[in-house]
This record gives sequence, C-alpha cells and structure tokens, in this order.
Amino acid sequence: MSSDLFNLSTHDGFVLASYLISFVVILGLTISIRLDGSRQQKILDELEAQGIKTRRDGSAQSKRGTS
Amino acid sequence: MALIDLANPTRFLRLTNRLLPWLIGATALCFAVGLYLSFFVAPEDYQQGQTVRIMFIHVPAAWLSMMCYGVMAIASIGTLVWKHPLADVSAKAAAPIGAAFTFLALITGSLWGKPMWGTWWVWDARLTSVLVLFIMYLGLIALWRTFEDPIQAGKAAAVLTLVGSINLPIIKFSVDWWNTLHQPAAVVRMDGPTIHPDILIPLLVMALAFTLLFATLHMMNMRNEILRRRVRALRMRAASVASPALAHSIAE
Repeated sequence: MSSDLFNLSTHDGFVLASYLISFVVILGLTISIRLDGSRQQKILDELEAQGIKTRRDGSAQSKRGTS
Repeated sequence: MALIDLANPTRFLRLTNRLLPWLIGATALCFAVGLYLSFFVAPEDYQQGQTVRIMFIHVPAAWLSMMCYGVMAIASIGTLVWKHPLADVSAKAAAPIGAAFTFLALITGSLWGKPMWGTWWVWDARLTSVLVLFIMYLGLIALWRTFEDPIQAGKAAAVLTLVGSINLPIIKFSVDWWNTLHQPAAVVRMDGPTIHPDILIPLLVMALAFTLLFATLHMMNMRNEILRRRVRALRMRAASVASPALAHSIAE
C-alpha cells in the first residue's frame, strides 16, 4: 500500500506544477514591475521634455543661473 | 553614506541604480545553486518521496510572505511616527510582492497537501491564517488605489497594516496553539532544526534566493513609486501654471 501511496510517477505532476506555477508568478511579477518602471520613466521624460519642472528643480536652476 | 541620507529619494534612486545589477546577479546565482541542490543533490524523503521537493519553494515563499508583511509593518511605524519620506513608498512597493509570495505559499501548499494529506485544503488554523494574510495584502493594495493623495493613502494603509500585523504571531504559533493538519516548525526552533542537512542546506539556499529576489523586486518597485510621485508632482506643477485655481482644487 505504501509503495502505491508514494508512487513517484503519480506525484511528479504535483512537483512539476508547483515549480511551473512559481516560475510563472515570479516571472509575471518581475515583468509587470519592469514595465511599470519603463512606463513611469517614459512619462517623466515626456513631461521634462515639455519643460515642466517641480518648484525645487526650478529654484535650483535659477540659483545656478544667478551664481 | 549615512542611513539618514537615504531619506532623500534622489539619493535613494542613485543607490538603487548602483545596487540593482549586483542584487540581480546574486539572486540569479542563488536560484541556480538552490535549484541544482534541490533537484540533483537533495535526496527523496523516505516517506514523501519526490514531493518533498515542493518544500524548497513552499517554505521560502511562506517565510517571505510573513517577512514582507513585517517589512510593511516596520515601514508603517516609520510613516506614522517619524514621517519618513520613503516609509510609505516602501510599504506600498512591498504589498504586491508579499501578495505574490503568499499566493505561492497557498498554491504550493495545496499541491503538496493533496498527495500527502489527501486533500487540497482544510480550514485549519495555519492555512486559514495564511489565507487571511493574503486577503489583507489584497485589501491594502485596494486601499492604496482608493486614495488620490499618496500621503493620505500612506497613513490609512499604515494604520491598517499595523492592525493586521497581529496575524503574524497567529500564523507562526498556530501549529502550536491549535491542533492542525499542518506540521509544526522544523527549522526555526529553540532546539535547532529537525531536518537532515542534506535537505536543510538546499532549503536554506532557496530561502536566501527568495530573500534576494524580494530585495531586488522591492527596490525596483520602490524606484517605480518614486518616479510615479515625481510624475504626479510635475502634472500638478503643469496644472498650477495653466490654471492656479484648478491646481488648488487638485491639491485639495
């Protein structure tokens, strides 16, 4: 009975499914974080290209300009 | 660089740009070694056979699900007590990663439980408390999205995170306090691990790989959140230049 219970060919699917699901979840999470980073950087670059700056950036630039 | 210097998001971004390549390399190396040890060096368990290999991802995922919430709880104290500018960024960035690890712990636990216990799921204390942790992660992610202002969202999420941290000792000690189908702790024990080194070493290497993966993804997600807040600040600035009244209403 115990040899049937712990038949490897029966349980290999559970091991494989565990690793496969883990791989997919970790890969999906990594890709979504990477894509989010690229999207935010692209928007930030576009805004800065339009000459929009925060107050702090603007004041720092004007200080550099006057000194 | 002093720790206080990291409170400056620009300095933090510079540090992440320097550290990330090393962290990614270390994570990949640890996973390569850990998977090799898990599949080619660790022996089959005399009772569980090949299914013991599920432990090498289930246990690290479960540890990280709790550690991630611990990081969020510490960050929440930083938000509420010290108003550290990166504390709520850290908490928000950690939530989806913690949810993913908790999901993995639940799924791999279920896939391990079916051949060993004969069931996919039981409503025992350990499994139920981990499910509650997963729901709390989802609730916190939803809460962050409810608020327009990240500062307000950070405070509300910090309070909820700290209230929810009561679940962490419940998860840890659930197998001791109640009769559960889940086995008691076998690694983190007062009298030392009860697992043979042939299985313990691959498990610890995989746990290190998962921890480095968390550090890598957390840092990447914190960087994204800082960029998102800069985008918001620039849009507010653009709106204030275009229409001061509109910007005032957005700020409020």
